[in-house]
Amino acid sequence: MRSMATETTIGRRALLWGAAFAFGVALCPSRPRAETRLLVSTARLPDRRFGLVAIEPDGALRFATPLPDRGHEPVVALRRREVVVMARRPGRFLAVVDVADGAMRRLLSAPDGRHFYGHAVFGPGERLLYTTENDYEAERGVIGVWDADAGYARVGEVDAHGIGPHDLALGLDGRSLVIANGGLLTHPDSGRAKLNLATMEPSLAVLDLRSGAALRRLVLPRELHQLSIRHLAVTSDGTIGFGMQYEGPAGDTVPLAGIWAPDGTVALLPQDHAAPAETRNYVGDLAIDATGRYLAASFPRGGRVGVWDLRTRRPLGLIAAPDACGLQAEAGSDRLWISDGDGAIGPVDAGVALRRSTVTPLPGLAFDNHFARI
Amino acid sequence: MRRLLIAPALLASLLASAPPAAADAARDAAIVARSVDGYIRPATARFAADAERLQDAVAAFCAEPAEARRRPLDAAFRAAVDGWSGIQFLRFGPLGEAHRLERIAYWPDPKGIGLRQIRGVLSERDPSVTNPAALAGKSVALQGLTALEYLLYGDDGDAAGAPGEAGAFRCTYAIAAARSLAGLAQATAREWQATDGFAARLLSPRPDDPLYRSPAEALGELHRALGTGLQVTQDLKLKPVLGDSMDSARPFAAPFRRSGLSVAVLAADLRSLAAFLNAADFGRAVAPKHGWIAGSMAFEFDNAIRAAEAVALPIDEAVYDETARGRLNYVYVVLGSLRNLTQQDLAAALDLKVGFNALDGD
Repeated sequence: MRSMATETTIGRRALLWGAAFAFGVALCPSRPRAETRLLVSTARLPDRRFGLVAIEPDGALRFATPLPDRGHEPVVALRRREVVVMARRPGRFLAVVDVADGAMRRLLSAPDGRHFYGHAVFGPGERLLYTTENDYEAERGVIGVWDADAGYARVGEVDAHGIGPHDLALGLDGRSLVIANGGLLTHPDSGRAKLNLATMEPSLAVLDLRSGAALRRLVLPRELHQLSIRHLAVTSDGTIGFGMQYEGPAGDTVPLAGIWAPDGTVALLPQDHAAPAETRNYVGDLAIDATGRYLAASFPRGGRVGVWDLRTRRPLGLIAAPDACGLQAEAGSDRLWISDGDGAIGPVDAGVALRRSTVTPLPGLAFDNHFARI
Repeated sequence: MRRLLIAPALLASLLASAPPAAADAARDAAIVARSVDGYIRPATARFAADAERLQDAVAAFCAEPAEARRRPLDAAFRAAVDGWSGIQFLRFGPLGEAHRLERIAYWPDPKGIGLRQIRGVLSERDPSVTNPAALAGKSVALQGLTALEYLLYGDDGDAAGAPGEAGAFRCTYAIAAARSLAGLAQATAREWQATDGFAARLLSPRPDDPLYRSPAEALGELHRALGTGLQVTQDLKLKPVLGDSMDSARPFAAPFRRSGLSVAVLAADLRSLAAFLNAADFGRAVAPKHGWIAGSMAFEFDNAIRAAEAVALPIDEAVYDETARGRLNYVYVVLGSLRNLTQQDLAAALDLKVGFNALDGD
């Protein structure tokens, strides 16, 4: 990696000046510039290996750490100065990487009979880590619990209250977990093939962190049962935004994003700004900006990112973004960041215009499905 | 939104363009037309005819369950399974409608849900499955080829056509399942033959059609179908069956094992995908530097078909036999190579940009 970085310094520095500017603006005026401000993303490295990359405020690559196989979501634990990287399903590794230099601190494996679905979240205080997993012989989704203070010891697991748990988030109260249960049955012996399209029942489940009991559960109406709920975001008022992937006929026009309000009401967002050919009925990631007003969903197969105004619950429009998947909200602004498979990353200022500015930190780098901002 | 705007302080590249135009719309449309007329329409029509003949064979056998009628029934079932291999990878359009795919063949079924349901119906002699119209509204697992296979080849209790009430009920159910299958196959073929409807949208994409806006998108669908077909055969029909070693082999996971057709299905899948590729004639249209791809894929297909056809043992024995297992392992490896050729080389030759995130997201 080092030689590659050296080779491309000149071109990259020129580009990255722009990135520094973008990052600078990203800072709240009242907040001191944080040393750790960083983008971390799973990626395919220029040498075709899979890894975790971290990009500094000036755009330089801080590190590129190869992973045993393709990763999925990076989860930042700032107090621990660590990034946990989950294997992409049906992978089994859990990597703990030092956020300062990219050193691999630990490389763990899913317990026997489990594989990861690719997402994880820390509980309050960054002590316990919760991972979505497949108990594939019993055909049920589970949430694995790991104690980071004890060297990421496996300390337990609870039922996910659904098949195929994918993304998850900590509830606003810090005492609950929100889980997107995609509803799709898979088995590692069958690769990534879906084994229950006719009978799938996706759901959103809210669990009590301590007892694992289901506090609330959202199941879509029967006619929408082939909408696999896969990604979610929780806003500062407790609204849960969710993004879906449709397993039914390709030409169907179906809602692909929705919100579950704290009062329990559910709204599936209208999709009239985007044809099935533009979405491929497939949301890859979802984010809600820090003000809670704009929801973005990426359509990597259609090469677009859709944005909605949650105040009116109307679509604002589409952003052309080939092979873009990763989405993240920027703290303290209404900006939403997008990453793509061509190695470009950058923000959209949804309140101003649906226009995406990007930098390309390293030629040949492909950002994978998800990234995190620090 | 699509304006190109350079902010003075922002040197970052601003991405604000529409997706790249198709390299050659006429070429793409011609490939789609060759695929539909040269492969999909004949293959769906053939399966409809196979299903019709199977329906007749079931009815004839059940009317007079003599050994002499059994052989034509076995042949008709085999032909229908073979015909199904010919179209099961076309999991979009007509087969994607109304759960037709699962209703024609409920497989894979790792938990044996279908089996449980069929056994339940047989033990209760639930009369509603003997009416094809009512059957269509019941569990997808009770319909189609997989249900029919159990009724005709399941080795529990009384065989279809055996003397007595159980055998008679099994036959009545089998007749209804065969009729339901024939109906599904006919509907699929009819929708592909029709000059309006789905086939027309695939053949003549329009910018205002949400399904396919350009020939490149229609071509992308067919390219995906090829990739899906290779994946299904490799990951579902072969990988769990072979296991990592003889110790972890699971022949029970193979499709159409009861009728002894699992190995034949592998060969039929390969022949069908090769014929689909051949009918599309990708090689004719691509730039000279990509000219090697079609030939290379045809060569790989031939090798895999020969290896699969050389396996004479039924799957439950083949996975434990050194020679047969070696041949199946070879088919597995070649399928992987064909998947790579499809996803990378063929996609590039057809100017189908297969993105890193778009290809196989999560």
